Amino acid sequence: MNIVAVTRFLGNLLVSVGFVVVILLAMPGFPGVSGWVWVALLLGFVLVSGIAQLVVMGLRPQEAKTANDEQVALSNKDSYLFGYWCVMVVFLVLLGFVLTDRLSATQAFFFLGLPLGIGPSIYMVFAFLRGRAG
Amino acid sequence: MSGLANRMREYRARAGLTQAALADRVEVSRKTINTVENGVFVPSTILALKLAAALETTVEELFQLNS
Repeated sequence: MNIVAVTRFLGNLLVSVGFVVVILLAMPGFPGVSGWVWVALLLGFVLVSGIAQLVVMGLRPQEAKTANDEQVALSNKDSYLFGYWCVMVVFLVLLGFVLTDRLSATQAFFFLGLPLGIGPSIYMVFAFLRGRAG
Repeated sequence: MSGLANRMREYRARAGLTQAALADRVEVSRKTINTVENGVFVPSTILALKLAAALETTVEELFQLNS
């Protein structure tokens, strides 16, 4: 088992699950908490995931090389494309909410950033499980 | 499935290598060897040449177009 690939999988899982838990459970459950707290928490998931991957890649350079082979590079590229289309779909939904006064433009802007972070991570989690990412 | 057939499994068995051992030789992950063998992933020319060299054969012997 390649430790770099496993760390990347766990990091992507943390971001995917963390985002879903915060957006669907924590934010509606604690409406009085400032939006910046949630932003900080979500960015924290991304930072922890990124730093963990960098540290493990630094410690295990040979495994990092095989964990970033051409199949993983292709999966990474596809994950960005998936994230792009996630943003496109969410943009249309949010636009509808803003036009019907159900959401402010500021809130819509905040939510638009989320699929950009979560889309590629979800794609890479499934890529790993399908044997297409390390 | 891709339009590319391959005889990787046969040549790997002939060379007495596991997927992991072959992966180490060509510096990719074992999963990449697995997906190439199963026709799920089409390797680049560079990887195809490395695989052929590691299995002591030619790219043409290893990979063929599906007719």
